[in-house]
Amino acid sequence: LSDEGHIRAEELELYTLGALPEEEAAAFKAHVAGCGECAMKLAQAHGSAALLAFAAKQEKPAGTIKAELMARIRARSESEERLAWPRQSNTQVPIGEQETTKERAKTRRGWNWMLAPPALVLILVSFDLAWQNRKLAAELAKEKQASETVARQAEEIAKLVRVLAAPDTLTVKLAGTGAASNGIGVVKYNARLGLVAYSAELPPPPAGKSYQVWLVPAKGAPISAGLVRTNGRATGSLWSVEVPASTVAKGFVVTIEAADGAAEPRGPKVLAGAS
Amino acid sequence: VFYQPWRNAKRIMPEPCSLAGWMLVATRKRAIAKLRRKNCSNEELQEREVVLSADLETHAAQNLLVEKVRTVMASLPEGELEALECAYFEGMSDAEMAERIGQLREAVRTRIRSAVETVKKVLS
Repeated sequence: LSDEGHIRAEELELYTLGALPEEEAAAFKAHVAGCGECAMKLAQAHGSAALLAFAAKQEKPAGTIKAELMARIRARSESEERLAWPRQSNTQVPIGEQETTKERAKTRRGWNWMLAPPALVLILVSFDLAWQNRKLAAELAKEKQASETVARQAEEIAKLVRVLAAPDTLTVKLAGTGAASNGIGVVKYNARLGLVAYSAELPPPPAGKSYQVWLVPAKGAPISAGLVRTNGRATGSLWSVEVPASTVAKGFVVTIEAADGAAEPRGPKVLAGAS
Repeated sequence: VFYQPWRNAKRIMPEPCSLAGWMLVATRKRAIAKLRRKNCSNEELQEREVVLSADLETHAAQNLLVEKVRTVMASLPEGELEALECAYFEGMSDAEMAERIGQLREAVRTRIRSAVETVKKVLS
């Protein structure tokens, strides 16, 4: 040390170059640790000495060195993250603690085996719950569909009651004609509500055909009032028909048409009635 | 050497430590440890503070610095240059240098100090 109690310049330079004997270097380190002035001088001396590196011949690093470095960084980071569990993955494991961390990792592996049976049970329970959940979801969907059907039927019945109960509902009796001379039917039509209730007794239609009900207005072309898709026995069938306001129904006819119905009556007439 | 500052720059290099300076010091220590077949742990590379007065940010500045360093090294007396090279590039202690050069330790220390002073003057 100098007379002022600080590191001498000569020692500073030798220490910076790593040329100070070990004993002197230890005393030097101890002093610098507690002396801000000398620590700053040392930092500057390190900076000056570092530049001597530029006296060496400059070598261009191999083209692959960056990729190799990044691969090593990735591999080391992944390895540290595994060892650091349950620490947060971005937490650095200090060098001195790495052995302790490895011991912890061994202990964890032991715990992992002990945890295997309960984990298996949990997996099985999860599968069972998932299966039950799926079954219940299917049942719920089925119930929902049935509930919607009942609601739709209830709505149709309410409409039918409205048509039948309305004082301005027109009743048209239908009589069989042609091939279905024994057929019989009745139509309830309410122009204000735009609803047609139809009931009839007819033999089943020919294969690939359907019975179609037509409203025959006082003026203009017949308007389709509904399609009897299943068979000739239709009881309480109800259709909404779009007819121009104040359309007066001259009568109703039933014809045999294609299975999906027709835009205008072309097939043979099986029932007819005038209002 | 690259890995440490990548992971712990703030911890191992508190302000006003220079990254470039830290890398130069750490790389030299690692190279010398390899040369002398010493075990150089990561702890040894943790030079906490290196204050660099020179600008190393651009290739142009680095090239100028290389020129300056080489010029000043070439201008050193032979004995000082030899001592400086033994210390910086071979990591010799003062006793080893004294033996290599055939001088007393005090004489070696004087040469080192004189050489470093000359270099500092030119580079500052």
